[in-house]
Amino acid sequence: MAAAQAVGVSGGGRLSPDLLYLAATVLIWVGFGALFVAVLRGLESLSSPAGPARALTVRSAIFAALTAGLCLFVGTAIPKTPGSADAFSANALLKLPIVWPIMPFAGWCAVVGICAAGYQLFRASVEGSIGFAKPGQRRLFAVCWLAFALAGYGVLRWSHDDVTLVRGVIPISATGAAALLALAAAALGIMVLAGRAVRFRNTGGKLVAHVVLLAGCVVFGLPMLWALVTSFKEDDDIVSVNGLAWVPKRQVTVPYRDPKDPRYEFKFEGQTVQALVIEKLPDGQLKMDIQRPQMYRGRTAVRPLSELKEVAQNIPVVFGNYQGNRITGRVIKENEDGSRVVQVTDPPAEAGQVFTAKANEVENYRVPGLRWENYPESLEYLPPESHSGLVFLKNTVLLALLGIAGTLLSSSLVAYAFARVKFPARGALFMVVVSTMMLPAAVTLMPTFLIFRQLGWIDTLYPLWVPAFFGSAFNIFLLRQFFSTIPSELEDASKIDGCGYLKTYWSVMLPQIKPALAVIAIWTFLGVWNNFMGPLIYINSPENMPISYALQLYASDRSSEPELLMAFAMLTMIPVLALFFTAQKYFFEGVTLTGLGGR
Amino acid sequence: MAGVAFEGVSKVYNKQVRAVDNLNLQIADGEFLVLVGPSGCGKTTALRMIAGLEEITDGQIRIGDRVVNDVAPKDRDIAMVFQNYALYPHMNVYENIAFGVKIRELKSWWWQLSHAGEAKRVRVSIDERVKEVARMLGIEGLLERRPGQLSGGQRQRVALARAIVRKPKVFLMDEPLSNLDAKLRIQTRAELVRLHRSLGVTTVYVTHDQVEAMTMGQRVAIMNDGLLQQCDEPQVVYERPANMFVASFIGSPPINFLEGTVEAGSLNCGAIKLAVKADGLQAGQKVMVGVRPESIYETTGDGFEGVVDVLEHLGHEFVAYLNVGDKQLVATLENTTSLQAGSKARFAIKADRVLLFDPESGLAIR
Repeated sequence: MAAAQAVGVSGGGRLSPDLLYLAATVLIWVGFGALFVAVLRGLESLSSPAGPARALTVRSAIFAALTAGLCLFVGTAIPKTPGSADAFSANALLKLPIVWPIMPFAGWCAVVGICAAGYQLFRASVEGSIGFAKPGQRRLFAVCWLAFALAGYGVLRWSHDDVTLVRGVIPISATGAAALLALAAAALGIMVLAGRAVRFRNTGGKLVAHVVLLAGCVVFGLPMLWALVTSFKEDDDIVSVNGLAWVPKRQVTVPYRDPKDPRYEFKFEGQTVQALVIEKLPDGQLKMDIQRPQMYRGRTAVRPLSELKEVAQNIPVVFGNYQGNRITGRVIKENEDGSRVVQVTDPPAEAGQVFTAKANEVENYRVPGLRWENYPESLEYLPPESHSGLVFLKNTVLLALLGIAGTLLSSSLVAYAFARVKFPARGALFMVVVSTMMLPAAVTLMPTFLIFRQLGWIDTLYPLWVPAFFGSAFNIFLLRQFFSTIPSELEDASKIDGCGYLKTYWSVMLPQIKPALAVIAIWTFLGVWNNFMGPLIYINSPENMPISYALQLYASDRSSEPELLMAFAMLTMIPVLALFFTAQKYFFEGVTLTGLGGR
Repeated sequence: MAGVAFEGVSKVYNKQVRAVDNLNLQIADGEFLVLVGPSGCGKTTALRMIAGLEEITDGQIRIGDRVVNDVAPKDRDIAMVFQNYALYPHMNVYENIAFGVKIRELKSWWWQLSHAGEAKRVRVSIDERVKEVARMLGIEGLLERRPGQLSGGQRQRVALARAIVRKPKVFLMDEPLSNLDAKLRIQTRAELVRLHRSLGVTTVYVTHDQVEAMTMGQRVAIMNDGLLQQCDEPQVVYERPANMFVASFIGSPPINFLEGTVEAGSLNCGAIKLAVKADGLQAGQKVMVGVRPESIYETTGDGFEGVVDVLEHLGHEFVAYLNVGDKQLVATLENTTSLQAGSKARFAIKADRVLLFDPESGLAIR
């Protein structure tokens, strides 16, 4: 389809289906919007006291309703042929038309130009009617935008690029329509209520606000609570037939020494391990199969009996039926097929009896309790070269310290220069720095990666802390605002006292903005602590991993044991929580200083 | 110690605003000079140019024999007291006082390491000096406090101490008393004068308060619109103002101006006739007659009739606003007067005390 057709004039001088569809779509959507406004205004007029304000509301409601009626009528009356045949085949109560033009950049320029020109004309008429500003200037802008649109259109025609209008419909079934109506009613209700709450500041409004806030807290807190609870769960509770288990339970166990298959403890590679005997070697030594800790599981060792120390094993207590009686017993052996060998302990008449129960024939004796062992075990699962996660901790702390030092130094130095040192093109340079905030991090990801690869810094920590020493736009902006508020007399005084720029910065200005520095330090700390993307891209080997990335080892290696992952996640949170509780003041200050919530 | 000299100094902001215009002023060694004028007259700019905080657009400034146009503030050997004191909020009083001296005399940390012995000696001497100055100003008990914990008067003393401890060639003071309450201001005024007498350091003091100017300055330089109007001893400035601006700026309540015409042997100011010897004045010439409020007195003899509009009781004297014909005059009357608001009386003017000005140029006629 050529460009000329796209805007509606086909060869025969008749309007093309595209343009008709476009017009109908716009009219219908505008009509629905106007309908919404009309209902809202109507409700408002019902609830507001009589007076000129109410008359105005009623008038605008009537106007909106008329507009809605007209738009919807004309919109439905216009014949519409959707782009694909199946669009109409859907069994739907309502079919909302929708369009999307597929066209080159020039076409979008034309559309933007027309929209902007329309907006300027609208503003001109509004501002002109209330005797405000200069409508002439607005009209000039409108003309410029129109020229822009024309230029775009010209390029579009000249380039002979195809413009396609995708014509579609949103089918809305009866239930969908009902849901939409309910949603609209709820939205209207909330808007009216909110309006009233503002007007009367009634307790009802406050109550609603508190309920909403509380609901928000629950919604945001639940995942955290689940993680905490899960970190204390036993394996059995992870996948439960009863849905999510919110109360962790512990298996009741008793110590037991198996006379036939004793469990021994000994030193293996410097660690104390527990193992079972596989066989007696001819030289009198024993070949042992290591059971615990997890990271040595499956390995074997040969030891003389003299180095072994027999230890009791904790075995689960179960309930079950034995020969028609309800009994309590202990599991003395777990078989490969899932059946268990149970020794009865109660009632006393049957104590000592041994039988084999199928998997679901006995029931574990479990009481609510926390499985703290998840925490040490979660560390046992880590790769040995991480020294139970200490290496991760070291890496993260190193990154945090360097990151904080770098950010504070570089950002404050640059901010000071922007705030107080006069140099040519200061304003323009500042705009450039601030505008880097507009760049999404994803855009700079590739180039920075290539740079660091060129430097040979892949799989090192350098890419994660060196950039901190080159300032960050947001911090520079924030600190500049702070520096600007410090009275210039302080600086004059320090100049007279004999300070140069650097000394003034360090001894006089920097101490004045300590609260802001504290806020930035905390944010940087949080950012480094939670930084996953950076390590994911630059780090491969476990000994260079920070904690945030090490968590991912669990997610991939141990995904079947979320309790260990959660336990480790909780451990990684401890420093952050500690920081939060000690530096709460600065957290909240950070929110109020910048109007930004936690990032 | 050294004097300060302005030689044709101008300061132009943004290539259009002339904050200081061709200022020529010699401040002698050890002198206490007060720069006074209304807001925006350029007095603070002139002071900041001495300090080196503002660049000099034109002309040159000397401190002693040295032209300091391109000398950094720290190398000019001056000390400044700011209007809001500009104490470092994060340092205690001791550190505030010692900061400048330490920077000057302890040089770099490298010097401190390589000359450990000397650095220690310097530190001890700084400590002694700080304590001595603190004792002199009566703030030795406050050395551990932060500026935020001090009252206005105490902060003022700390700011002074910080300036004094450096033993500079020139003191610069930028309205140091304006943030104090009235009583403390009067008290500190006298103390500053005493301090200057004992230290003998050249002092340039900027204020907009003409009372401070008159009471403290050995000489007073009055500025307006960036131009120096007059610079002389306070009594001379008061009795022989160079122009109408100076006459109206100095003196409280302000001087009265009457339009007059020279007649043979007298001045005709409408309702008021003054028997003034008009030497060198031509008959029929228009003049502005300046009459200080204290030159007007109650009389029973010749004079003019006036109605007391408002009467202000100051205790030691009364300030009366008189309606004379269609004019209003301010007069200070003795506190023994029996006049009331609304009463009618006869007043006269001490003819030998009137000041004459040219109405067009505003300059004094002598």
